[in-house]
Amino acid sequence: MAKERTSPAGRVVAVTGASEYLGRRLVEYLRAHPDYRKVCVIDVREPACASGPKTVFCPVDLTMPEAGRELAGIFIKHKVDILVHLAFLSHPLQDVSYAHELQVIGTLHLLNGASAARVMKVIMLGDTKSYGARPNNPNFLSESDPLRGVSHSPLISDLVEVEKQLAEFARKHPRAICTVLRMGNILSREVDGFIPRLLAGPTVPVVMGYDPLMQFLHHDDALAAIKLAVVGDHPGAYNITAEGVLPLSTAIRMGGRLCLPIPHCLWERFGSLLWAFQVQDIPPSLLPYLRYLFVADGEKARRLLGFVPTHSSREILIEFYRQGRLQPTGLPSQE
Amino acid sequence: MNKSVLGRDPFSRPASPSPGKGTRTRPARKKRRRRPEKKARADRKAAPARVQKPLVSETPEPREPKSKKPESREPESREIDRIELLETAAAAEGSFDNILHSSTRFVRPSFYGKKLGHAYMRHHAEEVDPFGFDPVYWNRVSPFLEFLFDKYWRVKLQGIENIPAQGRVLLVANHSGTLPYDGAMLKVAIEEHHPSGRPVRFLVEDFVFHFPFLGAFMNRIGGVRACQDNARRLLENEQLVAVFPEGIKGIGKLYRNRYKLQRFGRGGFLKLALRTRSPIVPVSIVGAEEIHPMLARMGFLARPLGLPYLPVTPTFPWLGPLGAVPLPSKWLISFGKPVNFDKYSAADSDDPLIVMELAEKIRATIQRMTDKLIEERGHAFI
Repeated sequence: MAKERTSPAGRVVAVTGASEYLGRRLVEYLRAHPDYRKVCVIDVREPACASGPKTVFCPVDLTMPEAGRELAGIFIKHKVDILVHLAFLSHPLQDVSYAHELQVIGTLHLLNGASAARVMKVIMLGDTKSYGARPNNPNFLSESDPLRGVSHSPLISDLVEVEKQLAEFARKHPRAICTVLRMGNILSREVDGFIPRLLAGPTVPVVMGYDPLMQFLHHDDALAAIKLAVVGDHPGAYNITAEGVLPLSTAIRMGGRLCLPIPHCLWERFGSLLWAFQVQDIPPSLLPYLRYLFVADGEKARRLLGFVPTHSSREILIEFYRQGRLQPTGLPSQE
Repeated sequence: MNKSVLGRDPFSRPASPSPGKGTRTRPARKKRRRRPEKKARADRKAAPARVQKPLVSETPEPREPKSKKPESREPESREIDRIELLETAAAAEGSFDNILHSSTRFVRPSFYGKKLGHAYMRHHAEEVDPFGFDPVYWNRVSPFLEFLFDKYWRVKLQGIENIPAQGRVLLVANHSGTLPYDGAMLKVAIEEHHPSGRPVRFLVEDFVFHFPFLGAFMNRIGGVRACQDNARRLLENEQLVAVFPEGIKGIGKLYRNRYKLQRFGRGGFLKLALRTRSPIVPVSIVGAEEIHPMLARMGFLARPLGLPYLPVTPTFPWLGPLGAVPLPSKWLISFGKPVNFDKYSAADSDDPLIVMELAEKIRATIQRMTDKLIEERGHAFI
């Protein structure tokens, strides 16, 4: 299906989610790279990085019903070769239906647009949380393991659904290159997420009696993986992970944080109330990630993608805590 | 006081602090601290300061590249010490804010976090292996297990030289005793009494990881969830892996069925040995059946609690927690000759008939070894 539009003048990349850290850095990288002719930044509001050379801002609201047609128009007009879809929520929203519209329906529109415009390559951000944290997980999840998610978490089931959509898209368009990069717990002050939020506070609630092994990923490594996927052709899913695992309790204590063990039954019962009133930052539906294992194996990415992590889980953790002393937490990333 | 948008940076302040009320309230303390901290402060000159309140930063790169990044393997306790030093250095600076900050540190959770963190990390390794084994924690619990091994159960070993000193090997043992002490004893036996002292990884039943404390404990002492993927990974790393193929059925059998080996699962351990081309060393453990003689099972209570069984032993529900103390039986552990499967190919692991037949052979071998050991042992307790 791909029309092999790789003109000598370079390729055109469309990026969603450029107002966030990873998207912004990717746009900057593509702009500086001579192989890429143009970068289309797809967003609701114009991010600061969209006003620069080689960059076009295309305002599209992914939650709107006509977004698919609009996107197809944009892809055809700018002759987009590569679509990089990074506009995902890394932390659950209170507004579950908006989150669903943005992630699931938004991706649907994007893929419909890509399908109509015959975009030859789609790269999407995934998460190792999609595998689900379960007591009967193997210690290292591989890409061939099913995405089981966790029950009752709208965020995770959306992520799983989105991956299914891409798999369906890849099945329909066998010549398109579809890549999912499942990021293993990005721990950074720049990228939001439930683990960074958890570890940022002075007191960290944990589930009493559970101490799962955790792995962390540096945002630079996450970006490096996205770049690799953009530059080369690597269809399929890849776990992007760092070396090393740490028990959650050790990770908390290394930062001098206070562990607050809460019995699981209490948290489950009252957690949703605390979450609803925004006292507690973690909805109880994500509790399995504090109880059970969901460590992924990044061997495939090392072998096929050529991805080499530069930071180990432990180094990332130390850096995270160091930065915390200089910069306040929970900031939206700024240009 | 002019607050920088970056938060309070004690090192960039003017040298003469405004004499506030705070400085006079605790002069003695300030004096005492100032001297020793001077040097520390000089060392850590470029270290990032601590931010007290989350202030919104407006510049994108306030991120000083964390001073001299210590050779990345800095022991963690020092990391905590560093925070402490920075705080006291800030106090020594003498401004009202800093004094207030240091004098109220007792009410902040981070103070206790650090103290407790110190205490906790004394007994836990900072770096665990990929499966969660914690050598520091093991060193802490192993004296107790060695006491059980040497003094309490007086374990005698036979044929320990049958275990190869290196290379992948799968230990297959019978399982008994209501609580999985036999796994721990097997670990002590090999790590302390085999000349190679090689580490033992044992596979643990899934249900353990549902429970609070138990799963985390098992992980720390070297237990790995029993599944093909984990075991294959370990064997391919040339590790010694112990399995108890009887599983729950073996450990939870009644006293009257003692030393009658149950079905060996579905032969998963044999498939594993065939696929990874690992030799199997059959192991028989005698003595574990008597530590908690299970007279009956309370099924009606076990199910609501989510346990596979709730035992009734001569001591257990009756003496309360004291009933959980195992009885001092006499133990024998015998290691058989390694069984190689060289004449089978990895493809044979997909043939259920071959797998079941071979698994049954191993089971029969262990049963024979067990019967022999019981005769040798004589009285179970003396």
